[in-house]
Amino acid sequence: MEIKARIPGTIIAVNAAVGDTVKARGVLATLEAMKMEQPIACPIDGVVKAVQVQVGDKVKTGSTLFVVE
Amino acid sequence: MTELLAQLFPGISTFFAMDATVAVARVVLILLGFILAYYGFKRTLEPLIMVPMGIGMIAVNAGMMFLNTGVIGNMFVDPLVSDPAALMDIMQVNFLQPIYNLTFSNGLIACLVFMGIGARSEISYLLAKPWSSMIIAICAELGTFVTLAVGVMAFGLTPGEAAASAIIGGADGPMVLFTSLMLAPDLFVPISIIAYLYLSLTYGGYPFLIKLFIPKKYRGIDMYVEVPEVSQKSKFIFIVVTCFVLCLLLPVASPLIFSFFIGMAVKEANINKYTELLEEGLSYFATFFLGAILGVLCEASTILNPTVLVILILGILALAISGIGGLLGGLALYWVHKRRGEDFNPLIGIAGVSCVPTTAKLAQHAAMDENPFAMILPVAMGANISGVITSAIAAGIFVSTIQLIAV
Repeated sequence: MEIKARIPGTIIAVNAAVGDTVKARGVLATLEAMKMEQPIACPIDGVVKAVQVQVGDKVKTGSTLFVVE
Repeated sequence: MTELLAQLFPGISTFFAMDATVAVARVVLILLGFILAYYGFKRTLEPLIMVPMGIGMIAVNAGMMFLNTGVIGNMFVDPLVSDPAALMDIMQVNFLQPIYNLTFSNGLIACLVFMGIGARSEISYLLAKPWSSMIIAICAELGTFVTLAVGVMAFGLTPGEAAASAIIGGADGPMVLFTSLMLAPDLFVPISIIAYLYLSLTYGGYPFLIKLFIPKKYRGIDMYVEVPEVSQKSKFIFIVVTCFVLCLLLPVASPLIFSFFIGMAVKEANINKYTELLEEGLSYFATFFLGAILGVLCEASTILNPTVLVILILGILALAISGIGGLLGGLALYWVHKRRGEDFNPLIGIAGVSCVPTTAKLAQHAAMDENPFAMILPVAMGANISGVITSAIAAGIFVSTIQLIAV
């Protein structure tokens, strides 16, 4: 499952790496948009397959941040 | 000896040389300046406006002196000068006079703020839920029209004065500046101060209104919206065309519309240097001086106008009723969406009050307090942008129709 950005902004923290086991509602990263911090949650229990962002990246709405299975 | 001391410390001696009411008002305004600056420091109020504004209020009311003409005044700004020759003289003395006359009273400073907001906004927000956004924005204009009626009927203001105070309910600084310049030029200074003071207070006040009107269980509703996928090219063209259409329909608001859309346009055109300039440079420059000017305009003798109390009441009434109107609109849309089996967070209602982007962020904050993963900001920004358009329409209606009544 792909986890996408829901609002354009800047990634200010990445908390998950490839191979990590994550739980539903776990925080994968933090996005700053319009001077507000927004946690990016994992909707399912699973394992992180890909991390496609790093701290400092500017992301757009709909761009894939993580792949979790 | 006393004479000499009085001349050495005019800031203190002017207290005894002026009318007692004005002297008391000076003390009150100095204290109020401390309170505003402190709550800005504490982040209870919007710090970007309140810190410069509070310090400006303290400085101008402390720094009163005898001018060489014998009258008591200051070296910051004299908002009441309108004769061009006198204005040239005074600009060489008062250091904030050029900023006041050349950027504040014509609304330029507010337009600069808007360019920055445009550069930070995303047009696809408006495309996510255009109809809901417009409905909420219209509901959030309630305070403007109710206050106009209250101002005329209950407080006996002229229709022009009542309209200029009521437009505070549209929650758009530049729109307030423009309407009061057109309809109530004598009250321009107090209305603009009160408008911006209250707009900064929405940051602290609206959260209470939200808690009062929106049940806790609805506040955390998450909203997955399909933001339509549009290419940068189509977004750019959409921005330019919308700017054209809105300017054509609402000439009254065209400077503001231009500023907002040019900000979005440079972002979509990938002119990064301009985006940076508008977002990080000009908008902070403008916000800083806006705060400072508002502070130094709060000078006791200027602000002591019997109508000020009425405007204070009308202004807060307008903003409160607009907030309530928006929230009720949000609740109504929640029920409509629920019947169709869709989610709609009623908090979006507050974002219809077009204090861009403060009210949209308030809605998002309130949602995150209940559910840290809720994301309603895109829809809230859509309502916010629609709010700008509806308050421009309200200002346009007031300016064009009330002059007809007056004649």
